[in-house]
Amino acid sequence: MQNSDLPTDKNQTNATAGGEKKPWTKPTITVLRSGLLNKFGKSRQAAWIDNIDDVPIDDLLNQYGSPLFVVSEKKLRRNAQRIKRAFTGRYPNVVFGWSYKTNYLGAVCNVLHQEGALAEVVSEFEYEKARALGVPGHCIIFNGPYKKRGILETAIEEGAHIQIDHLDELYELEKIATEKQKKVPVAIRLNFDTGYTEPWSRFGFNVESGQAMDAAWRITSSQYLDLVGLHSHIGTFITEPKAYSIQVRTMCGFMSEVEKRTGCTIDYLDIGGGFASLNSLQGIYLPPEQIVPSIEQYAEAICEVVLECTHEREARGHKRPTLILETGRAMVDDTEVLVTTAVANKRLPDGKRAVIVDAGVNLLFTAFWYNHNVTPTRPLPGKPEETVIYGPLCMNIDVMRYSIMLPPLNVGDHLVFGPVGAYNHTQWLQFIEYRPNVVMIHEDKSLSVIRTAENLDVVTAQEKIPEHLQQPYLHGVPADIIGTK
Amino acid sequence: MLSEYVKILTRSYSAILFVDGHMTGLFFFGATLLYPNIGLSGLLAALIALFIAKLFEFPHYEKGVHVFNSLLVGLSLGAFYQINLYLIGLIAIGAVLCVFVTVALIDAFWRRAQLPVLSLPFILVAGFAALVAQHYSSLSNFYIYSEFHIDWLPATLNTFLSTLGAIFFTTHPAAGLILLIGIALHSRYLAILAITGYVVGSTLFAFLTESPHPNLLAWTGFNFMLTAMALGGIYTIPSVVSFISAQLGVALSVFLIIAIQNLLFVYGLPVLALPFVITTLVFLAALRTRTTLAQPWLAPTPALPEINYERARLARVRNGEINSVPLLIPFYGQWNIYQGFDGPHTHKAPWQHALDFYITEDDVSYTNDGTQLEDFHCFGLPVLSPVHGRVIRLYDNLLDNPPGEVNVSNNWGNFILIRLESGLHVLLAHLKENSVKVKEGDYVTPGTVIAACGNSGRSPQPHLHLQVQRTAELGSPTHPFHLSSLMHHKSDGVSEYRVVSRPNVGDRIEAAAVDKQLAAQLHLPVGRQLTYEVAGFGITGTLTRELQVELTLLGQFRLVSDSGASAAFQEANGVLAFYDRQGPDDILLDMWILANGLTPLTESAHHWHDSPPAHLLPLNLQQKMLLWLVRPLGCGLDSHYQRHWDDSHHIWKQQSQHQLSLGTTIWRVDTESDIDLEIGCKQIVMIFNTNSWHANLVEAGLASDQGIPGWNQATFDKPQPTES
Repeated sequence: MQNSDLPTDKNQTNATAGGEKKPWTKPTITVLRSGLLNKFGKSRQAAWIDNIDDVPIDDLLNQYGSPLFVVSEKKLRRNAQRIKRAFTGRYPNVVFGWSYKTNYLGAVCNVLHQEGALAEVVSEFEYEKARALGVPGHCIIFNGPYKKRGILETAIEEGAHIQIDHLDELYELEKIATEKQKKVPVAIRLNFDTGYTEPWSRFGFNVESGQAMDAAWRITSSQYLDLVGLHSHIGTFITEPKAYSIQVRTMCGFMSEVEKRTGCTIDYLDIGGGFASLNSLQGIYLPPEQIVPSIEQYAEAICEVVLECTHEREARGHKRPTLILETGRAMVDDTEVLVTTAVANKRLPDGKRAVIVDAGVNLLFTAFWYNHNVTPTRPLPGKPEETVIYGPLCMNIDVMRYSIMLPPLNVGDHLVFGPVGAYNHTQWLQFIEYRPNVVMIHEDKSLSVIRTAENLDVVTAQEKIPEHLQQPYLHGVPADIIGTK
Repeated sequence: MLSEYVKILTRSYSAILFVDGHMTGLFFFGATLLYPNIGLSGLLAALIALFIAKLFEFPHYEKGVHVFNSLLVGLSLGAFYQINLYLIGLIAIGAVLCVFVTVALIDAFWRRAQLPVLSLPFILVAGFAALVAQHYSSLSNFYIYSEFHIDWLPATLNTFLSTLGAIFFTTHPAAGLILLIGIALHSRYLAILAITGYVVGSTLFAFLTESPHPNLLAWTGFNFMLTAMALGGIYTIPSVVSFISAQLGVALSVFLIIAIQNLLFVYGLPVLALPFVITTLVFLAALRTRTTLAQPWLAPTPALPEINYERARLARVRNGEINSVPLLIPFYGQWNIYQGFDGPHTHKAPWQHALDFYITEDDVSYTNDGTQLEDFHCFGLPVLSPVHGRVIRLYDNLLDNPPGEVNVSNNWGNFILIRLESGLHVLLAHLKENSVKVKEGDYVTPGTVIAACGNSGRSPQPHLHLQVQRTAELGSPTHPFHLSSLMHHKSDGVSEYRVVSRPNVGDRIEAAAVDKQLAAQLHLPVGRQLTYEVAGFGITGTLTRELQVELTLLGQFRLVSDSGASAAFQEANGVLAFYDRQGPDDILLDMWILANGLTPLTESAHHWHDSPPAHLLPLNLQQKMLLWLVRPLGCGLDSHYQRHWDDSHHIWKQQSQHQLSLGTTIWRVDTESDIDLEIGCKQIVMIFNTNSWHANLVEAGLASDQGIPGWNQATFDKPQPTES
């Protein structure tokens, strides 16, 4: 029941139950709304949750403090298995690359590696992180517009799959390969217009203008480079599966063309990621349950076209290309929540209610573009009322939700923000506040801290203070400067 | 050219006794010359038949099938009449007629009922010839009934040998002895069948007719032998059951001999081999209608019993059952078995051979609440063709049932029916509405996407039904099949490779992906030449020997050694598999087959099991004699293979252990094969007791073809053979 009832209904039932004396609730004024449905569809939030994977939230907070990120290993593995199933059931050779930039907490990465994913990295740091986790070079896909010479050499040495973004990188690679006298298999990143999304023409080589074919020529005529793969990534949070149909059709077309013209054999098509998660983008009114396609719908749109376009390949003696997916958000977003605590209530001059919680945009960077679900951890009595949720930062931009219907809260009540698994741990800021614990709930309900809360030592560890700046006050601690005494 | 015709002639002599050999045929011809009148009549008929078959270019005339019936006509006329000009005329006409009758009957019999004609053309023509001859006053009878016998042999043996000789109308014990030796040289089991058939038949014959005249026995008793040989070993797989059923056939032929004798006596006609032909055809026709896989098993193609036995043995080891149809997995990814063979719900006789597939995750087959078809994991997933074949029927327009509902008026729902070359059919059912991507008449190959998994027909939740059935009718009785080259995923995360499997309820399976490089390096195209240097026990210095891939007329690939030894192989369903080893002993070929005889072309295959024939072992003469005595029909080895990737040498190391227990004697051979990703199997080591053999690939090449120059390439890391 707790998944479908509006808080208001629950509240009314509570209030009239048993004819006892009604508990006192704070007086509120609310707009009259009729029943369950409004023009935006069914209420999509659970009224309240008091546990995550059967572990009580109160216990978690008592043990690890607030705010607290909580990752569900079970959910993460289920997501990985579901996505894998959706694609491997529709295409014979599919490989997943875990997009490190989405969430590179070591424990999260290794859960996904255990589920069979390669590492998809876009920088020296991410490359080294993957290697440090124990991922061998040949299980790394190296993407991105800036790959430093040093790390490029390492990647070649270790057999990583390099996907070239621009001509200068191509030249650099060729130079290294020539110096090392080593044949390097590479892929190129393509960009083109699918008609559904803004073309990301800043990455890779353009197909329509012939730039990509030129690059392919350049590679295949090189003595030390081998063109073996094609990569493209059409965008992010794409809610129209047909965009992917167009993408893979274009890529397959380019593949046949480039194979015919240059005589190379394409072993893999890396179609990137960009699948939407069940999160609510700001400015979009329909709930994500209605606009976000299921992973199976994405898989159908992609695999049907790849199967169709590669149908003749086997007859011609070429194997069907391996399909690589770099699904990030759809894999990890809904596997994590942020548990916060209300620290103060306010009434704004325009009559709106405001709540201040102990986690802000420093931790929840995605609050800038998502309206996260906000769920209390106990049934809240009282009428819901439009509320703005602020973070703890002393900055005007620190708004967690601009507008949400919430019953009155007491200081110390908890609010759970979700889904928060994607892009927060990689984009969060050490800004004003320390970053808190991140815990993972394992499949057997045991708990591990997968990132310890920061303290002063952590934050100042990299700082160096010059000799003459060792002391804040050179002539002893001053007396009362402001002079209030 | 002449020797070609001589070969056809001699083959037609040996073919009368089901064996194939020029020398044997020559000896048989010699046996007929014990009575020159008979022998020359036969030869004349055979020559004329050969001429006619060649003149009209009847198909397969080179095999001698058209000749041997005419030969028998000639022999029979020679046995009854003295050769003179008139008889020669009669023989010539009979021989010509017999060729036409044979060609016509072979076609009609095979097409209608897949039955052999045996010596039926001879019986018809010889019968007519006998009727004609009765009005030929110019023919004088030829009497050979003065009883010949070899004095030092007991009377029963004399009668037995004379009876055997009577197959060639040469009722001389010496002829019978030559024939018996000829048979036994090719197949001891066939000789045993001939003897036991005679014993059973003549005993019963004596019982039914009290004391038959030895001549009567000699002139009809060969029917027992032929019946026993045909039903016990040539057209069936040797076993206790087929032996007993062959003796049952012998008993029937006794009954027929007496009846036909009485019937034809009125017209003055001989019985000839008619009882044998009737018994054998009736038995085979009746056995062919069976749907069960119980014994006796019919041989897929007629062959010597030893060969039939070996084929059946290997088929059972590799496929689980003889005649089971191999299929590839009809989907991508990991699926579970919803219902297996002899399943509790709908897989009951005669539809017991069927598999239902679906997908479960934590024992649940859907996400969300399972009220929508789209919630089910397998709904809408592609369905692949598991075979090569032609789509002959399909249905595509039925609605998918909502979860939990069934449509019993259209049990199979949307379906595709594919006809195989063997005449069997593969049915894929409960497909998604409007998902069928092929048309009636399309030829499909394994792996082609042909439809999507749905929930039409008698299907309470989305699943895929797969069966092999006998006819094109829906609801036709099913036929056993198995899946090839697959991974079994266990709940503890361990995956196991299986060359063949018939999965059970709850199993989770996936097609094993073929490793491109492994498959490419072990690929054996026509004309591939592999030259190895072999050293080891019994070889002084080194032996350079070449293996070459040849394609036979019937489309069989064979790896042929320059010693003449050869073995057939198949590269299908992700496995390289050798079978049908023929020819002389060949240490290199036998090593090659032991080391690589069953090689999965998939990376995830770490260990597997096989049972190659025991005669591949490098046995000495004593050991061969022991094997020959203890396992007269041949036997298989207990072979375990394992393979791992040797990263330091960049090769696949494939090791195998072959074991054979004969009572207390245990023979064990170990082999190790190094499969290089550049040049294939580059080294084989074999160890047997204290002896060992090494074979190194020194050259790989391709034989030239018209317009295509050949090539060969010395392997890189081996020193060039300098002295040769």
